[in-house]
Amino acid sequence: MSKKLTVSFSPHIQDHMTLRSMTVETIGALCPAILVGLYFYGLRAVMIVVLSVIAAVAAEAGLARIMKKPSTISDGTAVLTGLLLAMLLPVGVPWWTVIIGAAVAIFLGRQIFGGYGGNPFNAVLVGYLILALSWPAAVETFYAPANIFQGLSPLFPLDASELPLGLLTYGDQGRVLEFYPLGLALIGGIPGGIGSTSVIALFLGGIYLLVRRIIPWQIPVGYLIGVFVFALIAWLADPSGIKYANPFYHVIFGYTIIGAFFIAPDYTTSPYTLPGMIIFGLGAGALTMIIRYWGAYQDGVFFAILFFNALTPVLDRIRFKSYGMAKVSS
Amino acid sequence: MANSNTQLIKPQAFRRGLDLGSIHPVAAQPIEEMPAPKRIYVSLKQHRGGWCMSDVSVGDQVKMGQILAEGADPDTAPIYAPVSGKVIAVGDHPDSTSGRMTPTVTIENDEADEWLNEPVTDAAFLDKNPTDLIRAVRSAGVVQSAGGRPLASMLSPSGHPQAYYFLVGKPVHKPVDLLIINALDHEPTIAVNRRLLQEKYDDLKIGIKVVEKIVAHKQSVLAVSDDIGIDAEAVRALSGEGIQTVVFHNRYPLAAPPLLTTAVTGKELPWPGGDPQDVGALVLTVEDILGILDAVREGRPRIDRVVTVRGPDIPPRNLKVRIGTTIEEVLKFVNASFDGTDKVVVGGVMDGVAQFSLHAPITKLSRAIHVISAKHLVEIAEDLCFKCGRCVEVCPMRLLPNVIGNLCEFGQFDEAEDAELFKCIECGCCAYVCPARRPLIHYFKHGKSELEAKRTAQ
Repeated sequence: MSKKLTVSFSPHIQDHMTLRSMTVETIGALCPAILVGLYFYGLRAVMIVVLSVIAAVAAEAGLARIMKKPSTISDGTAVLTGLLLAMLLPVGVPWWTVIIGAAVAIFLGRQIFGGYGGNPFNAVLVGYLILALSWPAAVETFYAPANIFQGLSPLFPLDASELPLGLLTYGDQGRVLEFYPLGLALIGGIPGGIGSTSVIALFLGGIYLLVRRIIPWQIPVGYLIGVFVFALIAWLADPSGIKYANPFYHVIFGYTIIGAFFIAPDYTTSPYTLPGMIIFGLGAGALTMIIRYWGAYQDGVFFAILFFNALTPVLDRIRFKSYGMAKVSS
Repeated sequence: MANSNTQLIKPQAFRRGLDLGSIHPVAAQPIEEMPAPKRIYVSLKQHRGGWCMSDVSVGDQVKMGQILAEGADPDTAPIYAPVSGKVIAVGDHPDSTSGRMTPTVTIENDEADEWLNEPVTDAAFLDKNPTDLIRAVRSAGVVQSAGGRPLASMLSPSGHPQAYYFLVGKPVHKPVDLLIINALDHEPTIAVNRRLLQEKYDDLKIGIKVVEKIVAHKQSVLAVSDDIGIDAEAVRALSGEGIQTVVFHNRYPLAAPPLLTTAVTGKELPWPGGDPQDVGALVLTVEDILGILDAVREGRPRIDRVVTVRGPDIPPRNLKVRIGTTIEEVLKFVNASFDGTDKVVVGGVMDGVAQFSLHAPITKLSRAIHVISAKHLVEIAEDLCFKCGRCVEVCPMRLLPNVIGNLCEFGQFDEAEDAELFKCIECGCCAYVCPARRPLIHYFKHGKSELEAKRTAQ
């Protein structure tokens, strides 16, 4: 026997889950929501999604070449970033802003910190918020959904006060279901980002990720509880029921569901300790509601999550004590 | 033993670590005797401490059970000839436990299996006093198969601290209230303790009495895995002796003594460096207790052990193998084809040692041989940690493996020590789940060895 043996340190077996498989499954979980977006917004939505993914991948490949680092496209994170960014954007956004947003997300959001795993802030949010702050009119104008089978009408922009969250926060909350019937809201036929309106599709994708244990349950559950409880307290505090909306509306409308399942649990920018995750979820949920009620922005999901991204290193210090008694008994 | 003072033990659930599956076909394979091969390689380090000094030289005729080497350090255990024959070499040879060249005595087997002192059952062995019993355990050279601590140094005689110091050279006397009989296997793919429990429970009962005679504990608890269960014949037989049974789903690494002690007693040990005896418990595996019984009843030294053998092209087997049999001989005996062989691991697949040579021998510490084919090799990458937290979730010591791994990777060893590097038991759960495929155990071992080298230099 003169066979050469492989020698390595333990362990000698390994779980099947890799970054690549986790990313691929997350992209799979996003597919129902994207399909709903394509159904309501048609070919232009396809164009935005494809453009965003291509721009993100090209930025990742180009930066790897400039920095003379091995390409990391195969792990799928650039595709996922591009996809998520497109899902947040409204369908009428100019094509060049999509390219800028995706490239900025990869460059400023991720590669400048050393690649996936080094970034303090969620790369998708960096890309989106730079667009929202630079071209607010383009990014915050939403359009009435049409239907792919009825033949798509020209895009019909809506005023901020006509949007679901506008109705909720500008005191007209009693009428929100007149404009946007509950069934349609759950399926996603309401104004919003390309892939962020369908509660059912996003929820199914999120449950899939939870069941497969690709994301920890503490963050999405904590986030939804944070939003719901804060809205519930506000709703109960005002007996007239006019000023603050029914807490269910705040979970259904806006970016709440996509934020809870796909933006907040981003591995790198959320805590890794269990108590940290719970505080992160609850806190980001509550801050979302504070911004919705009293902030300058209609939807607080993104700024709330970004703020808690910054708190993540602190939250990571909240942990279980390690094994072992404090003192040796004699 | 079953007096009214004993409390009912309520085990705590162990939720961390990994579920590698408790039920495994290997646990149903009876133990088979493997004949001794032509040539035997006896490593002179089969325990926690340093090398033993060889008592034999080339050309000597040795008999089975003749002492080959011993050491003065209490962390060493004497080593005996597993076969009779002629010493043909004393020198460096690959070793399966350390994974490096180690002084080894090579014996050409004359196949006579002639004992120096034939083991005979001493009818009055239970009437001996504890000091004599410990002396018999010490001279038989039995060690814990996890870590290689000589068993004699774990058995402190009740009320004889001076005698204990004299025997094992350690000025510590810790009373034992609770004996935990560990019938769990370190990993589900190994079945040594589960097989011995099922096949030798009568001997185990006597062995427990021997341990009771020495340490005078008040209560015994049998920890079994759920694939054996509370209704097994062996478990019922032991329950009849007043031994409480606790059933665990064998999540890896629950069988590690500190974690098992905590799961049974609810108390955590001082860590790092603590011992179950610090909370009044003594953890002995079924294998350990049977080794103690052989030593005191027959004066039979440790010359063979049970090894689980697994490979891609062979059914799993449990073999009783002479110490010093090479891995190659064992694999030939089970008709492994060697075609797909790419890695051979002695010990468990989670924390065993990958071998560089098939000529490395079985030692007292070799619980299993795993053959791994090229297509099942682990991937290793040097990508950044992306803080998914899966390692934090599984770590049985509740550490932050990601943080410690990063610090060790970039040479910040003092910071790693502050992050409690030395609490790590190197079970491998973190590296098993890591989706970035970071070689975390490598980083931890590197960090520990750097820090220990620095301490020695000071």
